Amino acid sequence: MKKRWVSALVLAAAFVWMGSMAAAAPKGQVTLGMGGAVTTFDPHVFSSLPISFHHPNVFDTLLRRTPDAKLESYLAKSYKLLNPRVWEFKLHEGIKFSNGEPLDAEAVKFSFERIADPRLKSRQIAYFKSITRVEATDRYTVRFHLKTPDFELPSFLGIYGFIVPPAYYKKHPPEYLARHPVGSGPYVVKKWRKGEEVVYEANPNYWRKGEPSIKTVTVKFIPEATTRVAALLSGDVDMIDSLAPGFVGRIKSSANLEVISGLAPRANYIVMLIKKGAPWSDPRVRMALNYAIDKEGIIKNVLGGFAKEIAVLQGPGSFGYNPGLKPFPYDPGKAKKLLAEAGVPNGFTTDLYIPHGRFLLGKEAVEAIAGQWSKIGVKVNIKAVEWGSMVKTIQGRWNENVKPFMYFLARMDTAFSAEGMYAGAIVGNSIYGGFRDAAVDKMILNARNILDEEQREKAFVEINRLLREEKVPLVFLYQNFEIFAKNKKVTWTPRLDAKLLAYEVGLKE
Amino acid sequence: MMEDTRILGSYVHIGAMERAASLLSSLRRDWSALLGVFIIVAVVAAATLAPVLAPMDPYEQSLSRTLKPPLWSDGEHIFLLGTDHLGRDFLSRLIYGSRVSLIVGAFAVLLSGGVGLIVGLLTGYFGGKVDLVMMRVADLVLSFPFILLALATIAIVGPSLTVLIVVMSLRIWVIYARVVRGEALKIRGMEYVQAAHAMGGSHTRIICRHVLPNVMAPVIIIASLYLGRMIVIESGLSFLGLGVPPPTPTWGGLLSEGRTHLYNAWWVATFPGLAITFTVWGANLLGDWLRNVLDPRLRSL
Amino acid sequence: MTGYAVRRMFHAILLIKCVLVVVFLLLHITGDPTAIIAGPDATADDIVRLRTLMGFDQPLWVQYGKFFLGAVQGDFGKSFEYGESALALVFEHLPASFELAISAFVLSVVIGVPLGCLAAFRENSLFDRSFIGTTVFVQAVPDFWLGIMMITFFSVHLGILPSFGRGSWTHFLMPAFAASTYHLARLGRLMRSQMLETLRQDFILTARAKGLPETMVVMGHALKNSAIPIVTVMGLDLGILLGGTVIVETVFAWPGAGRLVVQAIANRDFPVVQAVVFLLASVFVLINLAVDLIYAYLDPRIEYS
Repeated sequence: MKKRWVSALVLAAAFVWMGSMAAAAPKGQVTLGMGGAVTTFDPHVFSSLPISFHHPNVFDTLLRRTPDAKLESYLAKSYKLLNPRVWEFKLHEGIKFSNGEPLDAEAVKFSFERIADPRLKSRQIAYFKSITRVEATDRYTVRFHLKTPDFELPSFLGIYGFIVPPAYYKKHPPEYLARHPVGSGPYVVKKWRKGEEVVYEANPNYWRKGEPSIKTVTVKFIPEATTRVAALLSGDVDMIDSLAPGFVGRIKSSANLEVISGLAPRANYIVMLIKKGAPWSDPRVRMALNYAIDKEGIIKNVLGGFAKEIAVLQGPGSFGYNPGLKPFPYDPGKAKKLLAEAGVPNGFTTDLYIPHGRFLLGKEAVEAIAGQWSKIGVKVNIKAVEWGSMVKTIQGRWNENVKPFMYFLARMDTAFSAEGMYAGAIVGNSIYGGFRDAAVDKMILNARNILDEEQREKAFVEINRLLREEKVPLVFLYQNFEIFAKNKKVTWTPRLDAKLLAYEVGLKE
Repeated sequence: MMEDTRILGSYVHIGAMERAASLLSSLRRDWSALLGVFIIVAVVAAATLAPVLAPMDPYEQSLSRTLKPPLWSDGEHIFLLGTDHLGRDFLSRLIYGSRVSLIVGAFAVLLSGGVGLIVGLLTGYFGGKVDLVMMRVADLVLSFPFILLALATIAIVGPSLTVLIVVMSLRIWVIYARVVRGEALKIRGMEYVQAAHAMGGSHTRIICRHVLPNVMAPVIIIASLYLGRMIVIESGLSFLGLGVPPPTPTWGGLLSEGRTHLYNAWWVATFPGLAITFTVWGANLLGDWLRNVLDPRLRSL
Repeated sequence: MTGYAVRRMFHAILLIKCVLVVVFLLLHITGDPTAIIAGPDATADDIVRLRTLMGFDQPLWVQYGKFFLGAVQGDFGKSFEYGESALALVFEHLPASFELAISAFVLSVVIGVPLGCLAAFRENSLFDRSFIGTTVFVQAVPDFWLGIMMITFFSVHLGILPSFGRGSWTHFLMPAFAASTYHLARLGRLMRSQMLETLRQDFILTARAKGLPETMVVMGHALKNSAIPIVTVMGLDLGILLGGTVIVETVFAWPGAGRLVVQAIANRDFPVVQAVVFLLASVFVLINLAVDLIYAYLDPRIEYS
């Protein structure tokens, strides 16, 4: 009996040893050039695209998205709905933060309480406001108690809600923590010079053995698109993000470089502010505006082919996506007919706002759209403004003395769900929407509370049909491809959420 | 200093005809100034005659002919300088672009010149409290990083032609004001002005008859020297995304848009770049010459 | 002289205070930035909540009072984007900007002044003519365009200079040159004409007639007598460079305060904008002060009224 124990131990030791042999230590180094700079490493205060590229390298979430956008367990071994208002998560055992603190239910509880702390003024609270209480039922079990049923919660737990070591985060003030992060993720921040570079070094205590494959990943921040390309061409960096389509040909002509693109769930659309006095209060006019855009031509000639037409705001992979819906075809004749039926045969004039420098080739696309609309008599004054002043204009849009106008926006389907997309553009109280329809609002509210997942999805699929075929709340345009360029020695595949994560980058042998 | 005063005192009494004649004769001797005049006249002509000169409508787009190279033809028209990313005739856009670039430059220079002239005259001639306050305001303006001021204003108010002109004028009116003030101060102290005053001439009359003609030279010089600078600054603001909004073509806008086509459509960035460079070069040559002829003391501008 | 310096200091402080008021008003008149800060997924309720937390619901004069009390103690508040002290953040970015501005300034002096002198000594020579032609031409090229062209040529085509960023001295060459061209050309031309005028003056002619060696004439007399306008323009240039390398910083991914503030304006990060403007305005004012004091040294006849 005793002997057997010993041999089991020996065997186990041998396994551990072999395991450590098989899991090759991280090696090599890669330099990435990115357009947006990370502004803080406090994972609980802010939300922005550059931040979402960086924090997952250092911090872990309970769940996460696979490259093809499926929600998978991560720190949480498993999770389930105990009742419509309680989610339970079981954690992996024995995980340690990079400073040696154990990652347990208390750490999870602390992290979510930190986000909810009003003193932190967190902007992530928008994602977790349904949570009333986080309870650690035992060392590795956490329960989230909710105000109202929230089936979206797991989706957000795959993006935000990074788990941090309580002792360390209690000890230091926020200013210090913004610079000196400690997490359980694949990398630790070795050096960070604001606006210049972040140097990641593989976390030796990372709990998933054999990851990451690269020892040092340096991210350089290069805001100017032409410089980013020059940096790749000259070999100063190994990979860049946000490549403008105009540069694709040049990259392809270099033997050692290649272009990689992936469809990003970012819907580009035009909001028509539907209020008193708007010629497009009649849905037929909104349909006409949709029919009058040659999306195919714009995608091919303005966006270099790096986009895909959409019927509504969602693309494949998003919860509630309706594959049966077709994008509005280009049919200026039909558009003219619809305008005539709606009583505005000669068109109208409108202001169309576009934030400059915010959406890839957005300004160019809008210019093309204005040109196409002019053919059905709709005259557009393009107002290219800075994002801040556009937000201000949009905020005041419902004031009675404000004339109806339009604005171009793009929205990332971060949660991969109909609800997430509706929240920003369709529901009546959304901060950037221009469409108020009590019936639609009610349908959405009802749909979100359906317990059965299949039924819930069906409800959203039906709402999408209604939006595309009857309500037409927006001018639906396209989803962008995110374009990257890299040296061929770097291995990387694009993710469906368009993130470039340092720990997914590898080097060819 | 003595010499300067002599020059200043003397040319007031030269007749306008004679002065123009001497200017012209000096122009003939100075090939670089001649080149400057030639360039500026050509650009002004292009701007005023744009509808006649432009072979096509600069706003007419067609997605079937985007980014075609110079001399490309669709069978009907020849696109001398090719087309842009929306298939618009690039030559036409360049010609129309000269209008906006010139308007921005010229109006910025004129507006700031007007304000600077008035402020400079009043402060220099009357002195006292007005002088003190205005010069403090000038200090305030000068101690503000210009580009930040421009960024903040345009970001907040939103970019438009008018805003752009006002913002660019904000900085340089001070330059006019200071120079004009210095001149006015000097002239006020001169014998013949004091004599005019003693003989009962009103302030307005003295300013118009004696002070104004003498400060016009520096004003013209500053205007011509800063015309080019304004065109360059407009392009810089376009680069930062704060120039004249689309679809209005401006050279700065065309240039900064063109930079993403550096490798696949060289003409889109090259021609506006050349247009800016040559126009500004011309304006600078002209300005240099005017300064050398009218008032060499202003060389620090 | 001391009294003059003290008076100037007093003016300087007053001036900085005015700058702060103007910045504060400029930012706050445009309304509160909560919606921008809150991000795209916030709801109307989130914005209301955040507005109260940030204090933007208070009357303007209360906000100004808080801001002013903080600013007097050197506290500009926490950046909305970085979550850190705005002043510390700006101090972190200023060295890069100053490095760039000062190297551009040094470049314009080191190249502009000697070339300008040389051109003056050989008036109307081929060198003089090409000097004038080049300087006028260089001023006509937009700096961002020059920067992009240089990167394309020296980094991509020849592969001899780093394409962006900060590090070794080779990183300085292109950005410093791009930032300096306008000033270099202006200073060079000014030096030339200033020197020409000085060389024609009586005392130089006398010195030459006395048989003093040419170098001594130049060093001892001509240079010092051409100095005042040169110092003025140099002061002006340094000020402009310190506050105005935004474009070059953007092109070369140079991590300076210019880019920080462009971002801060775009994101309505008020504390950072205020801190940057405060610091840059202070530097401007200090430079002006220095220039005035150098004047006083160079030309004791200047009246201190």
